[in-house]
Amino acid sequence: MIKYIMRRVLQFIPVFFGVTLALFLIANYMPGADPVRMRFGERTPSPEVKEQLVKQYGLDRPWYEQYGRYIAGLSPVKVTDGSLGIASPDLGTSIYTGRRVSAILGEAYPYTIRLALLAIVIEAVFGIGAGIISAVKQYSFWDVIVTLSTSVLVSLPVFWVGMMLQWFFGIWMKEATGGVLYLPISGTSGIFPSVAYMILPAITLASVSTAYAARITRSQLLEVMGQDYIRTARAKGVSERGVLWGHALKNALIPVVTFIGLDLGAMLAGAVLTEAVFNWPGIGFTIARAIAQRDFPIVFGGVTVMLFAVMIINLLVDVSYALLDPRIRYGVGADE
Amino acid sequence: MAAELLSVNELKVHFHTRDGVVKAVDGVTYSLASGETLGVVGESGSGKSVHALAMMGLVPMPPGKIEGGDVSLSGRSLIRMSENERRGVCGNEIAMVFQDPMTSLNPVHRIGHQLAEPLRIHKGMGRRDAWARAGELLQMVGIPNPESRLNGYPHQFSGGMRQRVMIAMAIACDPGIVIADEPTTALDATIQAQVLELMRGIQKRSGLAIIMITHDLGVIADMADRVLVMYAGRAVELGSADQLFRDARHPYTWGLIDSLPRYDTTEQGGLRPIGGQPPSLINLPEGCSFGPRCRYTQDICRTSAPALMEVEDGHRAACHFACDAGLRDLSPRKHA
Ligand SMILES: Nc1ncnc2c1ncn2[C@@H]1O[C@H](COP(=O)(O)OP(=O)(O)OP(=O)(O)O)[C@@H](O)[C@H]1O
Ligand SMILES: [Mg+2]
Repeated sequence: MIKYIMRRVLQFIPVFFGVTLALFLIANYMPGADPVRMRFGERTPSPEVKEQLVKQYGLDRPWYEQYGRYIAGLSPVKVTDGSLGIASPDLGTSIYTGRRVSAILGEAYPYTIRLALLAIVIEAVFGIGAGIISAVKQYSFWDVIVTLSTSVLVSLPVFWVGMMLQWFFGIWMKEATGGVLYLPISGTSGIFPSVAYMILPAITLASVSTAYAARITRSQLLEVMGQDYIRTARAKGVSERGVLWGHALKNALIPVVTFIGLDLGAMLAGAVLTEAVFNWPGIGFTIARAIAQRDFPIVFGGVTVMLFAVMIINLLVDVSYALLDPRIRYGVGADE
Repeated sequence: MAAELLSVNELKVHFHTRDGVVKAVDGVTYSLASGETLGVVGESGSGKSVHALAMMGLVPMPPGKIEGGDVSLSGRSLIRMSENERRGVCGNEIAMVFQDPMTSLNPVHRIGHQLAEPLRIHKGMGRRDAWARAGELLQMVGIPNPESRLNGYPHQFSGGMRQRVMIAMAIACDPGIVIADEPTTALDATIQAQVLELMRGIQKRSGLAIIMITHDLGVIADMADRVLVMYAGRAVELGSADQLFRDARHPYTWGLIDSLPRYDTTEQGGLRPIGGQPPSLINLPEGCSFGPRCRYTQDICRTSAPALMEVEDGHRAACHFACDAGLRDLSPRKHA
């Protein structure tokens, strides 16, 4: 297991360099206004100020030198005055606001995490739950409902789902109840308790994945229920309930857990569309804004943190996979 | 003969499929005494497995349906009893060993857990007692280091070992009857012999009755006290092993015996399969269902289906000419 984890961590190294290098190249050749111009908007900065900023951010250097500086900043081992020392990774400062990138990301990340966790809970509870009901009562009314609604849901664009929810719960309901009962549709604070602001974005973020989780659960469970070992369990006198909970579910959920875990990774990498629709100041929103402002330090820093988050989640998914499936834990191969 | 333990009476199991009604089992009658081994033989698709699954309540319904007849175990109907009652019987008083040991054990549960399960369900044993008993069972079926093997998972066991585990599981609650559905077909020859030997040993010690389903007459010759020959969902001959090997009355049984590898001749290609195909179970031919493949077909065979008739004490055959001495002389094995 330890060896396996080590190998996964090592595999991460080329991925990390590949992604960040690609980003640097894109940033360097990206058309459009340069970062310093963006900072001043309509105003024109004096040449001296401009030059000072360009120097400060190393924008006059070739891209590979900028990349080197970025990597050196990230490295926890640093050479200062000819001696080695340990320092916390440095993500640089924002060109647009001059604030430290780590501070900006530190503000945004909790929002993303909160949203992702709530969305994952929704996805796990409703996705797996609907999948189980649908499989156990195959071809029943509920199965038809689940099958139809999930196939519609997976084909809807996320932002459209978000906007429909905003319209229904925020506008229509407000009018229908004379302003008594409705949900906030934008931002993170105001007259409502703070969880209220998370409800619609979390549902939006979870919607498509919940549909997928339900479909995977359903098809896996149906497949597992037809396996020989389920027949063996029944032949032993295990009740239908015992068959489902004790024998079928653990087998059927292995791929579902993988899917949900990887999905959590994707959500932690920021939900750009959802966060944009709901003005949710998370990491996706922050990076999207930074791209528009050509505020590259934030983009690089954000992507770096995202990469690490995704790597850690994927590792956790692998570990939980092994915990669920002994064939992976112990390696396959019979002995007599 | 010892007291009657199980009696099967005109059992009919049909499958309602899109193509029509598959009469998988269409009127099978026999009885089984405690301690006795009944061999059930017949070609693939003759309904051997389905008739056994019906007793265990394991026929998938739909498409399956018990169309008629009854099976009674010590006077209680296995067909008409409630689901709850049946659960108390299956794995407890009657147990089953399946054909494919590779897929019949749950891959995510420890062997000990799977072995202990019937003990906990039927004998109300606690976790520890059941686990300890599971160790004894493993020992009993000849698996070395049972204590450590209990903690193993199925994929860590070879096919032969898994079948031993399946047998241990079947005898866990000391049932009166074990149905073994081709328990050795998936194993190679030496392991086959070991597994059969094991079953014989257990039977000798515990007085178990065994229903041994197979298409291997060699296994029958080895194990069975009595033999049921099935063809196209019906019993075509039933008698003691001795009666059948010495004096079979049904041309189909002759064909089966004839297809055994012969050691007493130097004839090439030892195995001589019966010519022709088994009939479609959806459109059974009028008259005798073996008629189209029978070398001795007469007019009556094409118009009326022969009933099982007693040809000698405890020996019955479903052939119009079962008592016809002239035809019997044609039996290819008459000399053997
Ligand atoms: N779930 C099912 N749906 C439809 N038909 C079925 C089903 N299960 C079995 N049958 C049919 O019932 C018939 C009898 O099958 P069964 O498995 O009892 O044969 P068998 O004698 O055990 O053969 P084998 O030696 O190959 O195991 C076959 O024609 C099969 O196609
Ligand atoms: Mg079979």
